[in-house]
Amino acid sequence: MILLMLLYSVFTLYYFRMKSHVGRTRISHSQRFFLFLLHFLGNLILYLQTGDIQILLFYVLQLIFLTAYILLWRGIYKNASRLILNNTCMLLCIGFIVQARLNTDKAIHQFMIVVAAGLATLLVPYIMRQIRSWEKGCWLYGLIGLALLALVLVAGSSEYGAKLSLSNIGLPIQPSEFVKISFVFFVASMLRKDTSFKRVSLTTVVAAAHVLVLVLSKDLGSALIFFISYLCMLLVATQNFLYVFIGLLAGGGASVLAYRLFTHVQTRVQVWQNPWIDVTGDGWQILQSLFAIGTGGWFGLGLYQGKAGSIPVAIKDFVFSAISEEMGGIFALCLVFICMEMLLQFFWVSTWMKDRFQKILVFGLGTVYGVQVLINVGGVTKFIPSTGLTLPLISYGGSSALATFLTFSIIQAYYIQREEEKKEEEEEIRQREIEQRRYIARQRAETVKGRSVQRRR
Amino acid sequence: MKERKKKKKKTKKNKTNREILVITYFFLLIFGCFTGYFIYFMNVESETYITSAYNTRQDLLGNTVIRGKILSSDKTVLAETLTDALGNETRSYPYSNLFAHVLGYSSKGKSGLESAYNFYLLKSHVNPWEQLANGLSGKKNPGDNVITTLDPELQRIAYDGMGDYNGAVVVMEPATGKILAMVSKPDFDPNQIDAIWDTLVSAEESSNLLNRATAGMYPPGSTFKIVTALAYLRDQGFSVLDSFSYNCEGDYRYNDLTIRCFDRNPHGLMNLRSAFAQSCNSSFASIGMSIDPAVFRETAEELLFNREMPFLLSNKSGSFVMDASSEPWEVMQTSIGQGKTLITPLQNAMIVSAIANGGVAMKPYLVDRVETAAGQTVKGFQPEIGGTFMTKEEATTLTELMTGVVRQGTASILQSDQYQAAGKTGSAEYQTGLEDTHAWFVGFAPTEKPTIAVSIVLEDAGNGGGIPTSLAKQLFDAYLSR
Repeated sequence: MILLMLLYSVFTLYYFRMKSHVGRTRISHSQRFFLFLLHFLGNLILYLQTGDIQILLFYVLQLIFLTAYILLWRGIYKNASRLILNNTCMLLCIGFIVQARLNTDKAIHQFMIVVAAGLATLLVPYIMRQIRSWEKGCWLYGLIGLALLALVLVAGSSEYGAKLSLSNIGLPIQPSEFVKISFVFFVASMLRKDTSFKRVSLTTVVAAAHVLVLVLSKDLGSALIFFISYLCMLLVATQNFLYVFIGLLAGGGASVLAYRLFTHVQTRVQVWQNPWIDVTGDGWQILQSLFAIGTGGWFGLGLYQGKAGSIPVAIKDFVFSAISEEMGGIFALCLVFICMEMLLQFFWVSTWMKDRFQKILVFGLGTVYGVQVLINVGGVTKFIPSTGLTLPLISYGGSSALATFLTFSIIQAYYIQREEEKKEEEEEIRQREIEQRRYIARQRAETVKGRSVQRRR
Repeated sequence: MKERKKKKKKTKKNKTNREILVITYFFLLIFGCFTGYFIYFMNVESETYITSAYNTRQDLLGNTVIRGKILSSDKTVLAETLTDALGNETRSYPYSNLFAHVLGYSSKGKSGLESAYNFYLLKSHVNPWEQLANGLSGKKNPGDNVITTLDPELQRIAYDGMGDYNGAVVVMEPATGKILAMVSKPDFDPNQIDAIWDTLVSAEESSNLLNRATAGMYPPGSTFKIVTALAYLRDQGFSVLDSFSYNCEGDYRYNDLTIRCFDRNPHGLMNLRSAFAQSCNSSFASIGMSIDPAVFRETAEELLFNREMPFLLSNKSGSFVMDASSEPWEVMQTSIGQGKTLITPLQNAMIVSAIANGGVAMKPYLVDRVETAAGQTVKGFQPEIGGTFMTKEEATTLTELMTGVVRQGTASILQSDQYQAAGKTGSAEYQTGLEDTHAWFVGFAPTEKPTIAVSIVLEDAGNGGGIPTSLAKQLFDAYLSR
């Protein structure tokens, strides 16, 4: 499995290098081959270890979904990015395997959400094309986002000390996952044309309000995502490094303040510096995670050979540790690599965009994704203090899955648009060339005619 | 690649792409840092986590690996796992009690090397094809073997030489810190650990499970005069070698306090050399009273009193309580190694090894290397410097003083034609008013190029110049005649 994962990642790199269409098709095909082989092997091991017939059925369902998902995308949108599509499926496939390993019931539940979300977001590129006035909703996005977050703060239920979901009023969703998207829409629409100081200040106030509400809900991870992505978008929109500098200073000041004011922030940092100070208490989570990753080593203990179940919240925030323990450090690193490739692809798409709204939007969504991945894997490996976030598409969680599908589909939508425009341009150029050639031919013909006329004379 | 393309595009039209590029690089940098950190964690840091006693995953490795062997330096098997026809595994210790504490046990919790090298013993590095073949046929892989620095012959001599006395022996190679033998009594048979566990744990007084060599806290008695002498040299200079003199009449009085020499024997006119050789308590009490307490304490702490010992097995380090505010009685007691001062045999071995090694203390260690079942080295352990305890001059002077102990002092039975030994005896009172004493000997040989250092304590064995010193002679004779 490690080998397959390695091959897959290497081919992802190759995909970037390949310029020719034919080469890319070939690589995309081999990627899919590795993907399905990996999926098969993973499930085979699960089945052999448990002897549970349910796993086989589940595998077949997953297989049908993955195949259908790829075929539908490619069928409906001829120009969809194959790299994004393949990587999405790879992440899903790893998610399926590790969740089935950790908790089959939850995995099935998650699978149903994934199927629904995956099929629903198929429509996103179509909707994006039909409604072209997304950039006009600026204040609406901001208000919706803030309202949702405030609702969580007031009425949300706590989980591990942070208020995240609305499950206590009957809605098992985590609004912050969706507010990430509305927030990016907000910033992109606010700063698409006007980047005057007044406009920037207004935007910043609303952005700061988002972050503040999240900090009050003790959802530090999300707060950090909003903060960093906002700074990145601000830089791209205004091209002014001074704003970012001021932003960083303010952020630094705010975090020192937060450290002083909130004990849970202090605990997180202390545990990060030295998890051994409270082995059975605050340090427990991160230590279990590090034990898991360390003992798994580069090659992993093998599915069901480790004690991935003993990692706290293994199925959600600490899913990376569970993967690393049982499938190996190499596998885990490849996973991070795939996420990074996704991020690069997103940024790349954003550079193509001519419309400023679209550019900032795609870029912002990419940043949100990248920061989330980094905070998650960094947190569970003690690279940075742990803040509790999901790993998109791999962790258990419906809101997270739907939001990630939405993000990917929106970017996919712009990719498709761009590809179509490019083809049109190419078509135009070809047409022009043909016309030109005809024109030259006609001219030549005329000169020849002229000469013959002269000669006659 | 991508960036190049992007640059091309940038020059073509859009200016904002420059910022995107900057941020892309920024993200790449962080991802790069993470990758670097992850690799660092996996290769370097993970060991502390894997080997942590809180990590319950170690024993999982036993599901696919047969626990490796522990071997002596000449590759005699000291511990191995035997599998019977039914696949039941038992840990076997062919030498029974002989290596009990240093090897430890691996059921009922873990101790000794079994605990410290648990992870290595449960990892298999046999070649991948064999692992694959074993994996497919459902066989376990043989775990890696741990090759210790222990010398069965010296261990046997030390064990037998201790007779029925409780106590501990540590034999070290001064230049490397290799531990050649480590015995602690009372002991137990690790083969029977499951059967005798309840008795061992419930027995309060004898504490058979305690490794006295590393964690037994003993009053150092006169062996501490080494430290006193070193502090004296530091406080008042090398000239005291010639200038110090004291007329010993069998005791030292300060106001109404009295320190007595052994058997109240008057030693007569003493200089520093003879006072050290004869182990004259009165002289050393007077020396102690003249040393600046701060220098005394600093010297002791440089020799790792009140500090952490650089040693892998569970251990304790000696305590030195005296300071500037101490009463004269405590100062006098401390100078002759009585009172509240305590030391472990291992620390005493480290101190004499440092003297033998020109002042440089090597970290004591027990494992030379880890090998695969096929004998390929997986990981080697090199000697490491634990600290510089004293200057070369100080080490030479102390060697001189300790040679005097053998030539015309309390350890005269160590005199030999074959080699010149150096050492210090001690008879430590462990309970005020009781005549019984713990008998100590610490020393090394040969003085010109020391290759072996010993630290021996025998509980209730009377005079240090007796049994412990003759045991040291047996060890020296055996080792130096090779």
